[in-house]
Amino acid sequence: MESQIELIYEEIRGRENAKLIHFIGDLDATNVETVLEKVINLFNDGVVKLVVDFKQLRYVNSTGLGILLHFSKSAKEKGGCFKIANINENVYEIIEIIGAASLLEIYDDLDEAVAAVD
Amino acid sequence: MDISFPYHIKLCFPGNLEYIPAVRKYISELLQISSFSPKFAYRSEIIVDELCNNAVNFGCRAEDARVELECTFFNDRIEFTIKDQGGLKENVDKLRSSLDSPVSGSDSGMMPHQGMGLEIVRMLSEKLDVKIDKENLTSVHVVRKRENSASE
Repeated sequence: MESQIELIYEEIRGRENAKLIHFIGDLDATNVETVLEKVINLFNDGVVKLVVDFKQLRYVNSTGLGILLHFSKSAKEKGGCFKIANINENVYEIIEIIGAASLLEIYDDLDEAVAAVD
Repeated sequence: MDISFPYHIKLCFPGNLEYIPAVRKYISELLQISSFSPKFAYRSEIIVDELCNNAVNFGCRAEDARVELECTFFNDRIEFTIKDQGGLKENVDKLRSSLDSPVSGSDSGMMPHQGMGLEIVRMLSEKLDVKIDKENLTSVHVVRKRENSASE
């Protein structure tokens, strides 16, 4: 059975081609394909400026981190961005261990991340 | 709940990724009822997840392959041993190469990479031994010590 993850989307007022996504649950090898498909669909629809709220993301493993890096790279290649806010301490520790903290745009605060979208 | 250390459990599950969330959460809950901290339990959950993912991805060639996870809970540490039933030579070679040259997010090619998983296990544990025998059966032993309450 897949780990539970829910993605809730919000428009970002005043920003074109942008969305805020709240991640809720666990991101691991059993549900990365589902998440990948949802985000790729957004990219294909021209939504390339993404802010993701990890406040309720309890858990990420290396496979989940792999797709976050992939989203960040793809968004930049398409002229957009992939900004992450509200990462909990446990998830941040894993990001740091694999040396990905410097590769991702990480913000302490959601408002700050949203404000940084062009 | 009174727990007397050490105690030992052995889990055997089909070589399919979908079983792993239940396994890792079970170990995490056992640790917490055994008075290990939530942080220790979370880090151990990550270790179990990465070990199980590697066993399934690299070491389950046959459709009915199974993975065996043994955990021994001590007062001051937990020890894991995970065994698979032998993977394809190309998969085992990938595992060997990731052991020889661990990757980081910066050189992972931006896609999921199993080498990152072993690196996480290495960083979160005190001891990591990987044995691959002539028939490509892999056994991984990990020791993780209970941390001081100040660092938890």
